[in-house]
Amino acid sequence: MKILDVLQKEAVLVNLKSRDKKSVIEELAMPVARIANINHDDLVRVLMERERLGSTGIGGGIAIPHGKIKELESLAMGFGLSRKGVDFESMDGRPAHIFFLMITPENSTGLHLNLLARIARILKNEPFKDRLSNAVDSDEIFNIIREEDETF
Amino acid sequence: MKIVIVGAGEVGFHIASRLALENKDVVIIDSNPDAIRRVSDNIDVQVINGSGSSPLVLEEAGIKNAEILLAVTNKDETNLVACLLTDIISPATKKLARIRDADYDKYHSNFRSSAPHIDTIINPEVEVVRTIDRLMSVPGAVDVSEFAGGHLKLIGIQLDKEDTKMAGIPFAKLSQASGKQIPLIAAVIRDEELIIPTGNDSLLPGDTFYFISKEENLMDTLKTFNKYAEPVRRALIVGGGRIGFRLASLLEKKSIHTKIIEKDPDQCTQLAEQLNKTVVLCGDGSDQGILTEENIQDTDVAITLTSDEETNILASLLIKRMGAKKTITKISKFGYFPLMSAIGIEQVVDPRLSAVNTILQYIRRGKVLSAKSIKGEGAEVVEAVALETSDIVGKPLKDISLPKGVLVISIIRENEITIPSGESVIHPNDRIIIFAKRDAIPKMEKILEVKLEFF
Repeated sequence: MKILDVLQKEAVLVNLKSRDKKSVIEELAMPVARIANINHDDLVRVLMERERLGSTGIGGGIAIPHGKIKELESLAMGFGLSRKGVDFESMDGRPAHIFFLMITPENSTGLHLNLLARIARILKNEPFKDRLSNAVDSDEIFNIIREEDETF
Repeated sequence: MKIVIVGAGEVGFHIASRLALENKDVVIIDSNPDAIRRVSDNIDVQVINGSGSSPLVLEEAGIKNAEILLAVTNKDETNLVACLLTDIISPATKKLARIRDADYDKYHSNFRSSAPHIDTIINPEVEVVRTIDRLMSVPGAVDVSEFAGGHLKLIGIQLDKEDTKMAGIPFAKLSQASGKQIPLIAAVIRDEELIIPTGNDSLLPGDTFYFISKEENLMDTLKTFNKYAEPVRRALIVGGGRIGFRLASLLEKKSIHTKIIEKDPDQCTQLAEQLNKTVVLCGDGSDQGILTEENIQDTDVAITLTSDEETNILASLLIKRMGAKKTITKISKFGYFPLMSAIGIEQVVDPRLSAVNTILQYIRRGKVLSAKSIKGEGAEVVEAVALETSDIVGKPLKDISLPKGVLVISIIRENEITIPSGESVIHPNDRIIIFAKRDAIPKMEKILEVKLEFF
């Protein structure tokens, strides 16, 4: 599955304002909730609940908040960039700058796991990460991800 | 993790000081400048002098960024309003509120399901009555907590000063020496110090020790340590406040002959109206005359519950001296705890500590079902679900590098309870009970955490 099959341009935020975990999740969840047609507060609650079990801040400035939502029809994604960084209780203790948000229906099969693994893997690629971090708008983000999608 | 606490009384103050130690981001609100000063003089957290029921104050405290709101003022109304406002301003913030008035008892589930959507209602008084009930039912116990829906009990007992039979025998040989299966001893408290024992350690007379036991084996184990069940027929309650009333109603249901001594005549009248079988006496519970008159020496258990802890301590000492078999004392000043066993008060209950325990459960990482501090807070016992992808599952315990000071004391799979050995393997979705010394708590949270791929 390609990332751009699920990520919509409206869900790309290149200038996140929030500086703490809960607010950044609320900010990221805003467009995703609208696109997926689900309640924003419910989405935030699910994502925060998942964070309580262990942070999705995997270090290296990356966080991939995710969760399962009952009423959801199909997998949905969001993307965000924070210039200043957010304390996301990451494993390496450093602030997170690049965010991929992922939600999947309750009864989803392994598809979401493959996508999650792939996102985690491509974000280990430093040049790719740098290009994402320096992107100025959602078009540029899309182009960078498209190139990566094509090699998939 | 950001936490906003409304109310800087004993509970708020204590929780704040604990969380500050664990590097959590804490803001505490109180309208009383003295209470606020006490916080800012003693702990390194942000303080706001204002009303927790004001939306402006809550916003100033950063409620929008807070993961958890603790509404723990001594006014139910303030706590309810703080939750209601939080529900509007920041719906995804978890709300925990202390609600004490029994008039609200019937509406707790409504407070959860509709606005203010309180996630957990803490009623320390109900908790304390439950604790007293447990202490009364386990002979010799100084501390009783329940896990796995009551099937497992963590018991703290003191080895009698004269008990030389069990003293000095290494734990590895205890079962052999006593001819009985002795359960896992998780901790020993000796001279106020908490020790996690190995098989080579042994008990000394006067030690308090904690062990975990299945409900059905408990009485048998207690006998080995010279603690025999004595049925409670007569109880005396000193102090007819909210806790005293709740306890008296419970004891009535258990057909225990109960007397309650209360100072305030108006309160006495009210108690006499509300209670059926309990004898309400108007007077001073620390007055020898009234105690003699009421045949205190025939009392099986006396529970001192006035709002003044010094009175409770002295009344308990007096009552014990006059021949009552057992006393349970309510104390809320954490500073007094180390004194208690030294002056001969063994069974102590503390409403604030039980509130702290309830709150802890929500602050711990991982899927924690319940948490409990052990005497003096030197350690914590946590019941949690072992989740897929966490470090604790899938390998024999001996191959998992458990942090020092962390002990897995039970595994519960479906309805099967096992006390683990090094060979035991924890499966995903097993429930486990973990014992951790205070300094090992962050590491314990770590082994319960899930990996990225957990959905």
